[in-house]
Amino acid sequence: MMFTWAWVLPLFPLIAFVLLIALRDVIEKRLAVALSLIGIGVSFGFAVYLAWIGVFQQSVIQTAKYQWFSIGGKPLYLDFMLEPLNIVMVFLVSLVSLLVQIYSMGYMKDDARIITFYAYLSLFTSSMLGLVISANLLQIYFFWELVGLCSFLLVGFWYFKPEAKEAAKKAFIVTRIGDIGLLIAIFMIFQKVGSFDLRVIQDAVGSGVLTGGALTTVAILIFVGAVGKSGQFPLHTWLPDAMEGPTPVSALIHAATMVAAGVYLVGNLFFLFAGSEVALTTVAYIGGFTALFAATIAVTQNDIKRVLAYSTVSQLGFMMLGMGVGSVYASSFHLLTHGFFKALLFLAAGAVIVALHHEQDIRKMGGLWKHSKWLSIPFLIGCLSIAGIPPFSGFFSKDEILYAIQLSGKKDLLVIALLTTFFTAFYMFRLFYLVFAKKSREKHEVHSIPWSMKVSLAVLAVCSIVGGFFSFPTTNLSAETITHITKLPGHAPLWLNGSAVGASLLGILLATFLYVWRQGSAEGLAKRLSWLYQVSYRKYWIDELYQVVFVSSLKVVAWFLNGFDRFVVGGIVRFVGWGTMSIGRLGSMMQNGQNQTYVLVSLIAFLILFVSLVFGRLIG
Amino acid sequence: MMNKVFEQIEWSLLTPETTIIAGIVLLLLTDLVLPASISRRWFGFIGLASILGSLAFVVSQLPLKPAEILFGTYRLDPMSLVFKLLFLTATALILLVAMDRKKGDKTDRYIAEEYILMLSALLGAMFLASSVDVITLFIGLELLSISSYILVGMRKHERLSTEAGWKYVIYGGVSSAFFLYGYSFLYGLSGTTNLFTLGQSLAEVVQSTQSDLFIVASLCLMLVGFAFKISLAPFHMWAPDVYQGASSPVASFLAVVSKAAGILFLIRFLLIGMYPLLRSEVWGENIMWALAILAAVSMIVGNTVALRQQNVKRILAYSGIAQAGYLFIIFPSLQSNLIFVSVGFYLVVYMLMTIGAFAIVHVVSKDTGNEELTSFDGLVRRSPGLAIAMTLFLFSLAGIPLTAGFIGKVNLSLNTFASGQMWLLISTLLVTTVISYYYYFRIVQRMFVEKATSDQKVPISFFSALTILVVVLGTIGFGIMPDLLLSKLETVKWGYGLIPLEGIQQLKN
Repeated sequence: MMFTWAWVLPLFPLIAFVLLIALRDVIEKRLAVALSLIGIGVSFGFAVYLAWIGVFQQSVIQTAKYQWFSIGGKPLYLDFMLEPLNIVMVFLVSLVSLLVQIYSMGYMKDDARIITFYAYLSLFTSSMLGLVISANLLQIYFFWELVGLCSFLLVGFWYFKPEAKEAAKKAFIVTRIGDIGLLIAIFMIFQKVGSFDLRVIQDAVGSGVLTGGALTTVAILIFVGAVGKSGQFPLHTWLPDAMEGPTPVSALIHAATMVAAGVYLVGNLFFLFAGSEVALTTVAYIGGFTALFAATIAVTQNDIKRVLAYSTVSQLGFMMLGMGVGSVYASSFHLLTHGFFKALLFLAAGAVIVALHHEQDIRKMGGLWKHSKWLSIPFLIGCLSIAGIPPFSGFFSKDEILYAIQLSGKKDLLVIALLTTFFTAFYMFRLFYLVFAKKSREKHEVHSIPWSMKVSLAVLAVCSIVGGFFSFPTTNLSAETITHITKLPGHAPLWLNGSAVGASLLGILLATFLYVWRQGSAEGLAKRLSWLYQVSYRKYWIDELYQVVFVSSLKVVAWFLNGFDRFVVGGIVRFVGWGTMSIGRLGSMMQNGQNQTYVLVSLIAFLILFVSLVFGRLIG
Repeated sequence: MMNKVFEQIEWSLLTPETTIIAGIVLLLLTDLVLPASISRRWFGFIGLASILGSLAFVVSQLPLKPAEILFGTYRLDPMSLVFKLLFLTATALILLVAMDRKKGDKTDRYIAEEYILMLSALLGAMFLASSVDVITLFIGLELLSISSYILVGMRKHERLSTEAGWKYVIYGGVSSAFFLYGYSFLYGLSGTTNLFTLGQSLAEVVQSTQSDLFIVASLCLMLVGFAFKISLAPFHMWAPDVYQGASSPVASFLAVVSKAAGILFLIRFLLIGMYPLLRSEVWGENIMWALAILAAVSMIVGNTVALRQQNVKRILAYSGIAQAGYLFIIFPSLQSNLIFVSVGFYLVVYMLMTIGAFAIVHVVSKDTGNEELTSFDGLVRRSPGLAIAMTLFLFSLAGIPLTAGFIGKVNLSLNTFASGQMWLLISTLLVTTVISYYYYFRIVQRMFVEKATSDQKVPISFFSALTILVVVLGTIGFGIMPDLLLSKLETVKWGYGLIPLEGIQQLKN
């Protein structure tokens, strides 16, 4: 079937953004929010329609393309694609965005800049929707950057907090490092293949134009881009800091937009990875390492949002691991279910924070279970889901990944995955018990939460429960598809299911033991294992390391060059001027000691140029 | 005899230049005749009118066949016309910004001089654009330079301005001397100033003596002159001081028109006069690398030193040095025909974003009295439109998608890619681009994050606002629909600017 309207998907939120920004001083708050909701609502409507056709009826959806501009005589198209992976992403992005916007009606209602907030949210959704339907690398890069920009705006939304300012900057710059990788990869592909079109590139890979070392390099560079966006080790440091943004933004970034982009990119360009064993192995091990590494950090964090942030890093690593062992299906499925339960957890955490007057330290919480069932039940559902307890959605998708790992025969990765499962269950239930069980450690008067927040939580809770039963689209629709998403043959063996659930239960049990039955023994344990605790609590000192290695060294270069202008060259001048006082005197008359320096620098540069060219010629 | 020659010359080809001269004369006379008590603020309109008139003439010349007058020194070809369009548009926009003046500005007394000098600098650039003879090229360049020296030192009451003017004169003089000294060798070898004959006789020299030593040596010397004009590191050191001392419109004039003129000069000189070098192996072995290193050093120095600056104009100056480096990455692979489209596109884009950024600096600094970073604090809460526009320009300079700067950079890199193995340059471009995010962002952060020093709107004249609107539209428009410009540039017959008239006629037959 033909659907030439693909471009309307990002269009409506974009219109909402433009309207909101243009009219933000005149328009009434409620109207602005309504406009924004309409924009995303229309996109969501389209997404449901597309999901119905493309996923349930499994028909191929054709799209139209439009000429954009040409580079060196080669035309470049605005091109879209709506294959199952794209449709699932569209669905996830628009659903979560819609719910986050509904939720924000309650969460942000007292914020003076709520209209700007909604405008940014709309732009964020719009660029993410544009990203997931693009069929052209340059176009993907456009939206990719735009997504990064929006997350910068939203993370730094509360700009009056210095931490938010720093976090926004960090998010922008760190992800940019990954983007260089992506951009170089795009250039390399264009040089080899002569096109940005994904279908053409896929053909080129198929016909052997792009193979061997070049293919490996390209794939790894693209993965570098994904590492930046999806917060994989070693570029994960921005993601936990991005918590400084308003909580609905965190939900959006962590569940559906920003970080999902990296995993989506790898899935969408999987044909590049499939041809290179080295690239796949890199993806698998980086993913696996990140999964375990972040899970161990999450164990000791005390800020409710930080625990969730590290759990996102860990889960994204899990998805990358799935990609690396060759299953786009399993990872995309997990991306979907993770989108549901992570959005749920974040929104619930936001509600907790609101209920407790903006308290985020879990050591000061407790006893919320009795106060608000609207909060605690969804949160519990989220915890069970992420821990992978059947029949919650996380169980099914995690199971697929584990099965894929098992099929690939990499035993070490399977161990890592199971360990991650154990840690995940442990820190999630540590969080749950500290926040909801027992009595409050500090007296708080608990706020009631508004209906808009309840609605979003309820919808996401339902999705988190039933999400696993929707088997993700299994496709062998036509040869033209790029994302060959095929389900793995058969089912995971029972022992694998058993050990996964067992690992989770063990984690939950340990958490229950430490935080419910033997309250206080956790501190004792932390003391006994103090260096381990420190390593985890300090997040392996990665941030500090970066500060020293990168930031400082860049400062040194700038300092050096600046100093070079002033002191080294100036020093030479002073030395020369020792003999030629007249130059110095002229300089002081002009009240600057600099211009002769400048000319001297050119002279030296000229001499270098001259000597290297002319004498190089003579000798050569 | 002389009369006959004069009659044969098609003077109509000179209409664009004559219109500018007419504007200058008119300004001079009006200034002389008008009593001192009458405000001269409206003088800008005379300048604007002559620029628009000239622009109209250039547009009317677009369909004309290539032609030469004044014994082959003045030339009408697609390349010169395109560059004249660029110069005229840029100067018109800058003039609009310059007309936005503070009440009781101390420079109001020399307002006529300021506009006259701007026009004469423009005239120099236009002459340069039409020249294929070293003498007229040089005269055009000097007319441009000397006018700019004075423009920079125009704000006599400010120490920084006088200082900058002086520095610029001295540095410019030294660079011109380098250029002329270099050229004297070539003149010794060839005995001609015409670029086409120069190319031919150099080829003969190389063939007969089997040595290109002197040519390479003189190119080295002349590169100093070119690099100064284009502000390539390490010949850039005048730029930050001069930009800081000059008024913002003048700084943007230097950054745009002066730089573009230098690039045009270099293109013509290398591709016509140095043509035999391009084909010899010395190009690939040595000169290509020398140019590549100039580009790389510019990107590195511009982008890193900018990190430490506190003055927005100095930041923009260093950013301009880096931008020159970006533009220059394509020069090592000069053989390719693609460079004109890329360079042309980038120059237009660069013009838009630079004029825009400087216009906003002008407007803001007029209000706050300085150009320090702090004067941008909380701009979004004072004048959200200005802050958003500035963000757009900075993003475009940084090369972030959806802005024209991104397309320009991609285009440059891809064409460099296509024509040579300049991996190192592309990598330098990408890495330094990321570094540049940092200082562009500092300005954005100031505007959006810091507390405003006052809650008053920044006053802005209609004409500045118009300029900013135009360049905003251009920056976004060419960022989203680059084909509007790219397709036009692709149809320009750039090659006609590089071959003698007879050659063109032969091509047509």
